[in-house]
Order: sequence, then structure tokens, then C-alpha cells
Amino acid sequence: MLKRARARPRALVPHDVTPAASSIRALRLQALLRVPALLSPTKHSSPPRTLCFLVEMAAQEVDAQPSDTLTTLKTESETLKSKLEEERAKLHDVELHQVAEKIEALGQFVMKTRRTLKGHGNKVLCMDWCKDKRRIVSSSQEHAVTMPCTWVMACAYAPSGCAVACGGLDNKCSVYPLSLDKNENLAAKKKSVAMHTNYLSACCFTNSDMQILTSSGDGTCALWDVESGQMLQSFHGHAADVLCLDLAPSETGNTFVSGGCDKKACVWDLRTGQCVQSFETHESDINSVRYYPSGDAFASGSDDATCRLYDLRADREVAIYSKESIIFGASSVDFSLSGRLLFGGYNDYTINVWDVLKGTRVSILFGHENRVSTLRVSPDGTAFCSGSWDHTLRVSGKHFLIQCKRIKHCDESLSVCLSVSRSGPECCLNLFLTFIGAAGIEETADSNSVLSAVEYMIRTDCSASTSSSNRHSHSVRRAWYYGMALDGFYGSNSRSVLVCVYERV
Amino acid sequence: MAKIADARKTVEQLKLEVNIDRMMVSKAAAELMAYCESHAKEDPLLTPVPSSENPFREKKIFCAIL
Repeated sequence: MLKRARARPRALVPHDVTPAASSIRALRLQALLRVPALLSPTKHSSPPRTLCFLVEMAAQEVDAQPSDTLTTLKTESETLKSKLEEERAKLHDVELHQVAEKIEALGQFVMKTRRTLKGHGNKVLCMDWCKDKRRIVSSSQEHAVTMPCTWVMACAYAPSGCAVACGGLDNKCSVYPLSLDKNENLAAKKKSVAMHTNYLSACCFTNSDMQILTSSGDGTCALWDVESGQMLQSFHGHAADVLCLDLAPSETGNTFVSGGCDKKACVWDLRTGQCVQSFETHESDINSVRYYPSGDAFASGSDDATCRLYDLRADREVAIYSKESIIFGASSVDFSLSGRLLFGGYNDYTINVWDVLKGTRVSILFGHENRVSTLRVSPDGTAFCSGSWDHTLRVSGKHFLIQCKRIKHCDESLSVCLSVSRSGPECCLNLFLTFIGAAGIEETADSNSVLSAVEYMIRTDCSASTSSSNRHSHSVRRAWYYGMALDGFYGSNSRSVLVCVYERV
Repeated sequence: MAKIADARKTVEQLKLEVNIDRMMVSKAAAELMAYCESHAKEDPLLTPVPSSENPFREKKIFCAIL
């Protein structure tokens, strides 16, 4: 549990790494987004958020007391911070791993990749499972060249499984209804819900299809009503980009946790917009936060190469999952069903599996050929899916091994959303749905922009496979493939929206 | 001016955070452990699922995608 300053090992950084410093990240992403001037104005009737903030600030100045200088306030805040640390330290009577000494150690841990889904043309950025544990929607970055592109960075499945929300560099979160009817034009039914002033880093439906929680590079989180697009609540408190969020399991109430480039993880009350607790022990950007299944704690993964566990009732960090040999940041974390295991996907292409209670690593999984960017355990806990910049998704479980044949698809695909929600009883992973989104581009008034729906249906035949890949052994029975191509305004590069449905044999 | 408003907000926020109710780490840790133990049997990644129920077991049928 030794904490030490960790210098970024520049010499060992993979060639395509993105610097983690928040300002650099924001600048780079902003440079890639050249939003066309013809974007239609916001449909929301409430005044822009920045204006509200300025009005509020002006009101505060009127009430200012002359003795409230910046220095006195800063001193007061420093005093309060030390008081907070004192209060927390009073309860620090023991370490988690000491309490966990009496619990049995886990046996040898062998995990194998069950499926490799190769349907992306580019890096997989995030993923989620559907509530029925049968579908996954994933998002990826495709073709980020000189064209204004809208990388889809975040995606989420609606609890009903009937819609997918995604967003990214277009600063918006849009909801797409899902349909397996091949005649449906999905892009036409897209609904823009959230509007931020910077990129959308994460989104999540609350307990219903009607509300979405988003986090953004503008440093705020917000709760939106899907139907009207109205902002119901906003959450201010982070000092830099918010990179991730997770909703508390429904039994424990209306809170969520967010992590940001300011190294802070904050717990918020959904109804009041208040930050109820905050934790600042990480040494770098927090890329991923995930609640412990009971809702009493949460884990975070950060660019400082550690994952940490914070207990909400003890109000402190209770464990650090790190090793001398791990020097690359953790991009994504998730718990197994019982909370005993913590899976972390790292930028050194591996997945480390940690014993949450004892603080030790139980397993390390190789297989991805580039950094692991996203990782989710299925709702029934039988497997977890990891997405990577090597364009694949791998489904791994404890005892089994299957790999999918590579699915051919349109070269100019934009991104794929991989999304899942956390509950569900059964133990059956049958169908993977990958959906590639091109949110935002349709908002132009240019008459040349064309939206066409292209749909392919790929059937399998049951003869022995003759693929050149020597790794696959089983494959899907059926894949439906929806594509929507957008072209015209942005030149000859087309952006597609694709839905690939993989079904297990 | 903006900085003062921000600083004031930080101070207010810290006051709120200092005053919350906290639990001893030993108690919180014990509860985390209890949760793990009570759910360990249901966790397929922890205790293996019998082969007959394993949805990913090896099967003989081969299908190929065109």
C-alpha cells in the first residue's frame, strides 16, 4: 500500500497513447471536433447553463461581505480539508486486508477468452450489456481523420433493451430506438437528449428509459428527461473533465459516483444535485468508477496505474490495488457478482483480476493486442466482456473458450456502442448486438447531406468454415447488419451506423 | 470575483463533507466481507458453474458466416 509519486514512463509508452493530463486531453479532443456552423440551435427551452451560472454569481457578489477575501477563504478551506482528514483518520482502526486475513484465499484462477468479436473497424471505446444478458452494444472510434468526426465515446442500453443512448465529441447524448426489423431506419428516429458544452464522456440510463445521466468534458454531470430533452438536475463540483460515472445499485438509493481529470471521485445525490462525499487520493485522472454490488463502496481505476476501493460509510479509501510491475493506467474496472473480484483493464493490453478483500492480484489475462479501453461484467456474472483498441471485444469466462469468426462489415463504420445494465437472473449469453452510431452529423441544414439506410443480412451456412483465420472454432448463426451511411456534407467519407447482431450457436 | 465565489462554494462544500456520519473501517470492512461471503456461491466467476449449465461449453456444430 506504499504510495509514491509515479512519473509517467515515457520511454515505454505505446506509440498511440493519448496523454492523460486533462488540459491536453481536452485540447486534443477539441481540435478534432470542428463542429459545423450549421448545427441547429438547441431545442431546449431553458436558458443556457452558462448564463444561469453568471446570473447566480452576480447575485452572490451583491451579498459579499468585505472581509471575505480570497486568502481568508482559502485558509478556511485548507483548515476544513485537514479537519476532514482528521475525522476520517479517527475511524481508520484497521486495514481491509487485515480484516480479510481470516477469509479463505481464492484458488487458482484460470480464465479463458470465450469470444472474440471482431466487427469494429477501429478502436472500441466503451461497452455495455443489455439487461437480458443477451446483448452487448459497443462503441468505437472510427476514422478520426481531418474530417469533423463525432467519435462516440459513451453508450448505454436502456433498461428495457429497446433503446441505446450514445454520444461523444458531438457534445450530445442521443437516444436511438432499437429494432430488429430490418426495414427500420434507425437514424431517422434518433432523439437528441443531452447537450453539454464539451465532449460527452459517459452516459447511463437511470432506472427507467425516461431519464439519462451524463458526464462531460465540461466538468459537469447532468440528469435529463429523455422525452422532452430538459435538464432535470446538474451536478457541479469537479474542477476538470468528468470521465466516468456509475449509478448506485437501485436498492441503495438515488446516488451516483463520478470520477474526473481532477483526480477526484465524487458521490452525488440525484435529487438535490449536491455532492455528498468526495475522495481525492488518486494521483492522476480517474478513468473509471464502479459501485460495489452492495452499493456501500466503489472502485476506481486511474492513470496512476492503481485501482482503489472507497468505502462510503467509512468515508475513506480502504484498499489500493497496485503492483510495482504495473505502470500503465487502468482504463476500466468492474466487479464480479459477489464483489470478491475486481477486473481492471489496463493500457498495457492486459486485464488484472484482483481479490477485492485481500488486495492481491489473482490473475492476469492477456490476449488483447492493444490497450483495453472498456470492460463490463455481464449482469448474470458468468462472463465479462472487454473491448480494446485492437478493434475486438473479448468475452471471457472462467472455464470456457469460444471465438467468433471475424464479421465483415462496411469499411467506413463510425463507432460501435457496447452497453449493458446491471441486473438479471438468468445465465445465458446468446446474442450480441453491436451498434455503431454516428450521432450529431445529421444536425446540419446542408441539403446535400444524405441519410440512407443500408441493411445487410448475413446468414451462415452450416458447412465447415473455410475462414483464413485459424483461431475461430464456433461462430454465430445469424448476423443482421444494419448500416446507415451519411455523406455529402463531409465529403466522400461516409459514416455508417451499423448494427451487427451476433447469436451464439 | 469569480474566484471568491468559487472559494466560498468550496468552503461550504467542505463544511458539509466534514459533518457527515462515519463508520469505523473495521465495521465497514466486516460488512463488505459478509456481503462477499454470502454471495460467493452465486458468483459464476468465483465458484464454477456445472458444465451442463455452461452456455459457452464446446459444441460440435460448426457454422460459418459468409
